Amino acid sequence: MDRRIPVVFGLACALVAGTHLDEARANSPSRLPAAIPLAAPAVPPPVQPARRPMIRADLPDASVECKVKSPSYEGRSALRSVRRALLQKRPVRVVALGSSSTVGVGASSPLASYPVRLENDLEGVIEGLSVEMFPRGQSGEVAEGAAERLKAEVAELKPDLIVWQVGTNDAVARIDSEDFGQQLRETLAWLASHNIDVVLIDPQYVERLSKDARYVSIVNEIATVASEMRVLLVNRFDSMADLARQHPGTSYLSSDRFHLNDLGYRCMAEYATRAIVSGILQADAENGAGH
Amino acid sequence: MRPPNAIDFWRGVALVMIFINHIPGMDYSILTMRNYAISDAAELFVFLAGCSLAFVVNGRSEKKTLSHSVSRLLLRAFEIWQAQIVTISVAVAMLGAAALYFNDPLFLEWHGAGPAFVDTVRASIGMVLLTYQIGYFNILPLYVVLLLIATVAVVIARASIWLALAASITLYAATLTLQLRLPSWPAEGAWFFNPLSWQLLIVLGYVAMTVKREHPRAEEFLKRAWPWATALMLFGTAVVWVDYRPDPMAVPFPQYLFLFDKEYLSPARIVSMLAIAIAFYPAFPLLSRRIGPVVRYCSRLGRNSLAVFCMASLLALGGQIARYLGQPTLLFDTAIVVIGLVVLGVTAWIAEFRSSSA
Repeated sequence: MDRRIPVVFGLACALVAGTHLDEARANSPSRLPAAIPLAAPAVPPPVQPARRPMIRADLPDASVECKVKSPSYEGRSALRSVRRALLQKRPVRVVALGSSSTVGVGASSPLASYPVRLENDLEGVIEGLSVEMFPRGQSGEVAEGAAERLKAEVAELKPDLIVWQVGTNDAVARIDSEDFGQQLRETLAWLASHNIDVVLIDPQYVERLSKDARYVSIVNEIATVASEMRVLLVNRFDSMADLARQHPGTSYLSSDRFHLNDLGYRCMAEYATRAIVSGILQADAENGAGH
Repeated sequence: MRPPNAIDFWRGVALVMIFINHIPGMDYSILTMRNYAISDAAELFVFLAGCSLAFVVNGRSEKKTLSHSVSRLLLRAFEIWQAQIVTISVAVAMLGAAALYFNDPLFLEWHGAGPAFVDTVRASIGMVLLTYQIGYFNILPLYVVLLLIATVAVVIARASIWLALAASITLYAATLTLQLRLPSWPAEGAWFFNPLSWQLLIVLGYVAMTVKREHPRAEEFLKRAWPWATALMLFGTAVVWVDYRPDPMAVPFPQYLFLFDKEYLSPARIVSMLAIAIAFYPAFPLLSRRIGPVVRYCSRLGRNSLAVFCMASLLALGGQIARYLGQPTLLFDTAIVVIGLVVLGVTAWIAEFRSSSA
């Protein structure tokens, strides 16, 4: 960076070089799962099961109100840590991380709908699955600061899976999409190096911003990084755009459009459930190869 | 109105940096402390709050009675509690107004504001209890609890200032080791700044100023420590510039002791803050001679820190909204910063005018 004085830089580099080399090694792509094509069909074809599948689950159909034309998720990654927890018959530890919408727990809280629904949906679909859900907000923090907090929380909670609503705060703060993408890559590589499964959820669809270059560039950058890092991605932006077309209206804040926003969250839980189930089935089909 | 002094000046500087840092994505953030040190403007603000606490307790010339000190601190905590409720209410109203006016529901979810609109029953209780905080409006709740803890520290300090420091360090160590937290509610999680660990910084400020005043050899110590503190500060800068941060999975337990964690105020952040305080200790007289108007401006902000802080928080939110609605360029950001600095100056002037005429 231009502001860095080469001498100080060199000195400090020498001091911390050891740690960085270790980090670079840990983050190298060779530690990541095998390549997977970007666009997946709604139902992933199982990858030649070597043995009989050990997990009994069917990919759930989307409810009538959440049916969309675009694929509700992308990628075909294996959620190996979740599968391992399932086989060990212990609760799967899930951190639901993201903007304010994930916070709030307790079945009576209206905001609880997303994490609680996700938990219930998952437990309903997969036989023998018990989820321990940790909803965590990232109030107003952009990826740069959030990454540090995420790492500390991961080290403390030791989850099997992170369902991460990513990018909204960065899009709102008009962060450059490339800087954002770089930070996201780094965090995903770190999570992969610690065998923590991830499902990403991209930002909300907002009609006013549907043609806003910077907002859309963050959404696109998430898709690029998710594909590159072989991480499952819930297409919230596209799905909500579909839902918005199905529920035309003039004002987002009229009662029916506000309902749409609420519907967006309920559907997001469904889409995330589908993505997670596909990831578990994928891991089962691969029979936990590599773990 | 007291003349400019080092504490007011640096407090004003911290307020300006907090204002800029609270508008994420601006290029001007490169001028703020977080790009040059492991600690940032929040630490500076809290440390200086501790320093000024020493004047409240010890008086400018003669020591105040304990009951006087305690009542002053409790009253101040009450004032800050009021200020938090006013600012968070205005912030929520700004987001609501923006959502309605621009027909954009995303505003209702900014910075954890969702519960205020969707779960109003719990959020309004949490707001009063300070357990409901939204992003960038979480320093004043910390400050309220810090003042309450500092009140206890001041009472203990009547017996011995070192005992107060020992009690503070014990609580800090216990918090990091046992991972004690104040829970947030209705949103699940913890306070953005953990008051149980941050209390050490305000107590350190108070102890430092008290010891400096009571021990004649303190000045000599500061002179001797200067080169070491400066070297340590520069080392911190180098660590930040190479973007080194300890890996939470790689450090031993208790992990927060070894990280650069902001929530728990890891020791690295405290050491960084103390090094900066010593390194910059001789700077104020030099700056007063060289850049008098800037010193007077920042000191005025620092003298009226609560009013300025509240205004800075709301202006920063306004700046965020403006950047979100527009297409921010350097010129756009410059306009936000200039308007912000002018409004902060006017706020301080009005607050001062009000207090001098009262």
